[in-house]
Amino acid sequence: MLALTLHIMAVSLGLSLLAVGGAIAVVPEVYRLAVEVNGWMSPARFAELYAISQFAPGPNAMILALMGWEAVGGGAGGWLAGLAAMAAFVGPTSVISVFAFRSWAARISPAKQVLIRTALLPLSVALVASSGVLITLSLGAVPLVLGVVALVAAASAATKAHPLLLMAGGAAAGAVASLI
Amino acid sequence: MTEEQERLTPGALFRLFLFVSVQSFGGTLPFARRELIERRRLLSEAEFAEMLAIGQILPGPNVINMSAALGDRHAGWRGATAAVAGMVVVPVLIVMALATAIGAVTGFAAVQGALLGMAAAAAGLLLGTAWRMAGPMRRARRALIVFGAVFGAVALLRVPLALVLAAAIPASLALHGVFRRG
Repeated sequence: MLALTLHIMAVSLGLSLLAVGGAIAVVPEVYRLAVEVNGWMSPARFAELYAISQFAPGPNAMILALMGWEAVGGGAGGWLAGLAAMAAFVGPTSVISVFAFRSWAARISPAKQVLIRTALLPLSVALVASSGVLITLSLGAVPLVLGVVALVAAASAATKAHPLLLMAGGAAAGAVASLI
Repeated sequence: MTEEQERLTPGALFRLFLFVSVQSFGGTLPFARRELIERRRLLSEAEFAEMLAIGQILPGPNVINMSAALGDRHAGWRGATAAVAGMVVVPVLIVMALATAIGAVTGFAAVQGALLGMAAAAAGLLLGTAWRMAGPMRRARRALIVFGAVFGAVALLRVPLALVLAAAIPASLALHGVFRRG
């Protein structure tokens, strides 16, 4: 259990250092490591946990806590692993952030900041889009899934509908479909 | 931060960011913005934008990077620790409690169906978010090349992210002229 928790923390730390553009940008890598490399969960279970993490309040990084929680199989050990995974994800990067803000980061000229953000934007967009595609594929290309994905994608791109409302709509559609 | 402005204690920083995090459904950014700029007036709109920009460039979650830096400004390392703890500890406990509660009822077909639908909606939200984020770059040829390469490598070829970033970050910075002098 201890060895597994340390392994989870190491994975989480590695992921945090790759989170350029935010926690949401590492979701494809969380998937690759948790499902494909370490076999901690099935693709469908990953998609479920991602949905649960988005349905709870807090930063996007919450999927990391659930990754740790699930990897040790929930229970008391799961709670510890979840907290440990989160500590490893935010601790070292926060230290980097404090040092960077104290020294060089605040001295990047505003023009250069804009340029760097412009250059990083297509990476972030590609990683967010990849997350959407990977989660869709892991649920299986059944009509219900594809329909909900398409409707919610269109609604969130074109309207200001609240994410929670759209997720509740998806849940309702899924529950009704399972009863028919 | 101006000199006259109050310095928050670690306890106050913890409570401030706890208040932000527990109401953050669907992303922390709008809630952090409202609390830090509009209600508490700890940052101006321009300061917030600059801190967020740097938080995005640095590795790690954006708003958490920002909360660490803001905590440090007010109360040093203890302040940074308190701010980050406020952002994550309670949400982690909530999300694990939620997963535990859902796990207790997954035997029901309707719950299974609801989870499937919710996960599909979460995937749809990611695609919609990507579309909205892409607003400024939909007609920018260089950005679309970078987008296509990264998307292909990550979603289709499943290349490890470290390799993708090691190639794509310098390439995109160079393509956008960040290394040019002046």
